[in-house]
Amino acid sequence: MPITLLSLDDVQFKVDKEVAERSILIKNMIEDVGESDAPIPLPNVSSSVLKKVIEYCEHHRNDPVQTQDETDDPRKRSNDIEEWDMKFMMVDQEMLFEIILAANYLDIKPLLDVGCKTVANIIKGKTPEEIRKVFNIVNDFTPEEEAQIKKENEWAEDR
Amino acid sequence: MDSSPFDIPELQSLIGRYLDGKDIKTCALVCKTWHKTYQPLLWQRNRLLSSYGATHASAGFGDWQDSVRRNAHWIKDLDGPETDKAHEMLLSIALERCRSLMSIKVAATTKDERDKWIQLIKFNPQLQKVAFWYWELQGGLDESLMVETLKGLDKLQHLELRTASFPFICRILESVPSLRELVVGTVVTSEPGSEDQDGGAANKTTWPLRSLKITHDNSKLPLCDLLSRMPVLESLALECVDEKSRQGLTQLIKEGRLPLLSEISLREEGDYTELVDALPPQHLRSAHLQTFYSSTLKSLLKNQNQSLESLRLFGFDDYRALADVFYECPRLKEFVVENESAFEMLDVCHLLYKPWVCMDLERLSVPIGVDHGPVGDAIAPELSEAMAVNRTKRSRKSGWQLAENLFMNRFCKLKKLRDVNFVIDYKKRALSLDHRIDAGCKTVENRRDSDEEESSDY
Repeated sequence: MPITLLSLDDVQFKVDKEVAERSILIKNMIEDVGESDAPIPLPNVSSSVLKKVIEYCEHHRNDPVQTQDETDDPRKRSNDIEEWDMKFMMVDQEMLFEIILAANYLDIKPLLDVGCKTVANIIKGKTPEEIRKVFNIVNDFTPEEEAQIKKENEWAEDR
Repeated sequence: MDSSPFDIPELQSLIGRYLDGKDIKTCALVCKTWHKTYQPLLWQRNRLLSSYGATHASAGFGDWQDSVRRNAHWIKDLDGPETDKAHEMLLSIALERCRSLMSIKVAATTKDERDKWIQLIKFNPQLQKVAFWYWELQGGLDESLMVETLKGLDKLQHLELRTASFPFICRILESVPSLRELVVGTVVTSEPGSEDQDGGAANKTTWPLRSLKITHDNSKLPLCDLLSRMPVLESLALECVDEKSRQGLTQLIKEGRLPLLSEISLREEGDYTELVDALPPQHLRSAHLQTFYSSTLKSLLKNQNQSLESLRLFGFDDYRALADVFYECPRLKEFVVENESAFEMLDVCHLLYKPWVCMDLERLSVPIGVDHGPVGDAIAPELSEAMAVNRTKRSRKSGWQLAENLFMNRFCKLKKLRDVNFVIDYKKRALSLDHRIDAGCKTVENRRDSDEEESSDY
């Protein structure tokens, strides 16, 4: 049975249940409410973003459920993004951020991971100034504060 | 809803998990919000090394001290085995500040130091890994105090001790049910006057230990008593395996009392054929053995060839038999042969008889080379074919060159190779092979130089 999702701007999307259930939030909602024709409201997600998220879930509908890997090495690799996902993530920064926030809200862990990896890849190898420029961030440190942090972290290993 | 994932600390940390220390350092400098997330991330990853202060002492020991003091509460991994100026300072900072340690590696020489480290362990009940090293520790370790301390760590999985007696080991295993890996340097006789000399043999409870490793001397360990109480042991490493313990271990395996044992490292010279024969077929993932018995290798290749991922042979000298490893072990990732005799090697000609199956090899450290004996006699099929094509040039020399070329062709197909160490030749001819070796792997540590020295004494 298809499920109807309702975006922030009142656009309805009909999707297969197994596609919708890639989102743990929706899966739990369906379990709590039981089968129903009523659309599921997603007041945090706009239609343009929801369309993208559904596209991702459609493509990954048959993926095995990700096992928890909390005990893993905390340092993970960001260079193992699948080709399809890489292309999927080629969007402007605003959309990239929106997808990450939606994946977080809808609890779609693989999509959240891919989003975070994409952002990490943007950060890699840049200077603080370049990072500020890319993400439009204002430097709110005084030069003294900046020097102090630099000095303090000089002792931290680069691992 | 927030407009950027950077405003949500959990998402910011998630991004940080994909960055290395250098990038995280940069991120901590971007702005105040980022600093809040990345400063802890940076220091959580930092191992607090005592020698670190010494290394940087010229750049300002005081600065280092301040920096460590300010950030010590983030640190999860304390690694301070050195005894130097920084050691003492580190210990006092750690005692004062470190409360989120997951792993600790420490050394003590005085009773005072020992007590401070024990205090620090008590302050960090979430510890998962403890390595406690002590040399000529005044007043001894105080086993009861140690057991009492470790008892409080209900997440402890990995424990390393420099010395321990059998009853002490048993008491630890009894008191710390979460323990999965135990490493002991030397097994010593029990402290005089301690009760329970037999390790509570009457009490036959079993322990869920997965890995037991004795790195130096286990001759005082009643091995089979201990192992018979470890039904889920997967990995066993021992330095001393006399005839009696070898037979006992073989018996335990035969009786199916170590059904999960799949990694063995037995470093006393001996015939392990019967032991290997006793293992369930295609079960062993890792075999590190000190043996010159060809029958042991034959048994491994017959019964464990499909499962073996790591094979290390020490003191093994039947070089011809080693070629079969290349033909029989499809899952092998590591193949190491170490031998005192630098003059023996596996001739490349013997590696050309059958196709290789070990395409997953990542680490190869085997003396392989060109023997200057006649190539022509028992000639490998591939080689004989190649020589037939080049019949006009046929000579002993061209035979070696062909063998070398054919070997290098195969060698360059091992695409996963990262770490290589082997002899091509004692003489200078190896030079011409360097560029081809480079094509096949990233790092080549050719033993050419040391071999030249040795062969000159010969």
